Amino acid sequence: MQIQNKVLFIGPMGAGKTTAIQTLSDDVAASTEVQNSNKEMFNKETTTVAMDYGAIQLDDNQRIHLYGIPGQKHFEPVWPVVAKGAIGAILLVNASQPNWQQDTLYFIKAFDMLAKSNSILVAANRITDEQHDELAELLDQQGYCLPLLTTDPRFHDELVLALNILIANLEIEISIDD
Amino acid sequence: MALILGTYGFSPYERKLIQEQLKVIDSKVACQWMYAGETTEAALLLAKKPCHKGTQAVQVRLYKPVDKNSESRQTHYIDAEWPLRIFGLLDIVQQTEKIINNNSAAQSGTATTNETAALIKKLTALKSGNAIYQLNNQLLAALTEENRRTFIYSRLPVSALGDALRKNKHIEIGNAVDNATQLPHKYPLIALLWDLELEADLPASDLSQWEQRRYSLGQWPDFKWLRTGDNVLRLSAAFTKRPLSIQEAATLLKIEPGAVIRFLKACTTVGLRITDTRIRGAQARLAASPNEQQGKQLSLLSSLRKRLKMAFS
Amino acid sequence: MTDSSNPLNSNTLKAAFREALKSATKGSSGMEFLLMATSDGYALCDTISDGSNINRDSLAAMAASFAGISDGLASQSNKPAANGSIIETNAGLLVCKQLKSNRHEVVLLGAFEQSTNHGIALWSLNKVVSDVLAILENYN
Ligand SMILES: Nc1nc2c(ncn2[C@@H]2O[C@H](COP(=O)(O)OP(=O)(O)OP(=O)(O)O)[C@@H](O)[C@H]2O)c(=O)[nH]1
Ligand SMILES: [Mg+2]
Repeated sequence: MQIQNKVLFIGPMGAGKTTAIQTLSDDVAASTEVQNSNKEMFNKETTTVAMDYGAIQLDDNQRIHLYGIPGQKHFEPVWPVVAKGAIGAILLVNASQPNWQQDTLYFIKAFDMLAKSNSILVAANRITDEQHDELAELLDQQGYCLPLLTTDPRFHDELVLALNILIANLEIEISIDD
Repeated sequence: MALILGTYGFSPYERKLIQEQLKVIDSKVACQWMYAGETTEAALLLAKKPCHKGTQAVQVRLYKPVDKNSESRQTHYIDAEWPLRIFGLLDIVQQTEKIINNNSAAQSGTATTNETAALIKKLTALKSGNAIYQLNNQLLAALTEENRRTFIYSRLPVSALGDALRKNKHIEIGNAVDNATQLPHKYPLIALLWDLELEADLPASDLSQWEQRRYSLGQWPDFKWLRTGDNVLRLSAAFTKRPLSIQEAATLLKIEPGAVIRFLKACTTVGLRITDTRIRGAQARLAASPNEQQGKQLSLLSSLRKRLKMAFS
Repeated sequence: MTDSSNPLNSNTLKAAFREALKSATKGSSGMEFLLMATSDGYALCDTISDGSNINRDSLAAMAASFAGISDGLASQSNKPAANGSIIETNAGLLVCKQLKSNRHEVVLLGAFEQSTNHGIALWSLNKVVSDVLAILENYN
């Protein structure tokens, strides 16, 4: 086993992956943003085409690497490239988008390996209390036992809880697996 | 706890002696005692009284600090021999501490094990339209139902409301007032129950009741509402990953079995799905100790956790 | 997940691109195919033969990702944005060009046969680039 120090941010276009990495990263995160030509899909100026990259420097000479995937579906072939070797993933969900429920399930299935080890955390934003309950029920119905949070990716302290859950998860994973 | 010791009718030399003796016994007593000299306002007052045999004795007067504001300070009297030796003083101070302790435990009304359980039971049964009042008719919280969930509106945030309920043995359930939704704090009832369960004392019978089985959680606690902490997160991760006995979880996380039981009880109370199976034979489920690689990975994670905590504060 | 249709929906623009690519492929030997995509990965047009097993949409997305990575790589190396990049394979070169007008950003990918060297490949592709840029400017 190699020491894993990569946390992945996944989710559809406009869910806030780039935003989350910019928020958490010590330095300005590197990104591959280009002009968004599909404003019908999501009305914002730019979209990620290859990956986002940021890092959190730890006390010692170690860093935690934060990688974001490009969320649009036609970039699916890029996802496994970016995802390789990730500890776990934070799946961002923007519940103000149409089809957010299906999109959520789509990403969990696409990152099946992480979902199986419970290493995906669902962090929803722009979500009402009712939608939050609906999402919890949906995950449950589909047989996924994943932590679910409401997280505004523009705020550091909300993302910290998400990371803490991933940490707890991995600590347990390491300590239980023999 | 800092307490005041006073004397009454003591000469300057005798006062100095008391002060010296108090320093000597300082490490052997629980509270922090301060000598205030000649006074009548002290938790522990030593007063000389004439004795019928012509010798002198001290009368020790203890005030029970029932409530700072109340008039009803009760007084205990102990007689002691004069001259007072170090062991004599130690004995008096220790007796005093005992009395004050018993007293404050009973008076501050920290709910006992069964009381918390009863409180939780009472709260679980609450419905929309109910309200919780303190004895003096002060509204603590009002309940409403929104989106199939019971919510609490309160003047207090959830942890403070929990404390208030634990301390007030006499709460009354009444009807909600109209303007309850204007109260500043809103959270679901389960957030309060979760807090109370995690803080509750466990009756000894609970320990045996939870033994002999392995438990697993079918859902994560809803951290949108429920308080987290390192242990709660790790317990959630552990029990959602695979069935574990109380002892296995305690060993895995290096925590008290009681903390594991409290967590599972809290999960049950907020309605999470827990399944349990009887332990059949000893199964070696836990890695004995992490190997070098695992150790490194764990230390990386713990550095990250520390780093995140730092960034937080 | 919803996969939306081609967003650069000016048919005349696309038709003009298609003509430019077609004539370029015809005119230069050694060029296997050309593909144009928006910089955010939507296929615009190409000269890939209909019988081919190449998936145009995936290729368009990959080309855009590759261009994005090239830009990122350039900027991390303190260089201005990338204009293009080359992938060398045992079966020939792939050359990627980023083209920008003040309204559109597109990526042009050219695939070349094994026999075509860097110089020829770049020279043939640059010819298409100027045609495409002219179209982009005119249609602004
Ligand atoms: N109001 C509101 N806006 C948010 C919230 N979270 C993110 N946003 C905004 O939503 C947008 C998200 O955009 P990105 O971070 O680029 O999304 P992305 O997931 O990287 O998208 P792609 O790279 O295109 O897949 C940004 O404009 C954020 O400011 C939220 O909780 N509330
Ligand atoms: Mg992005």
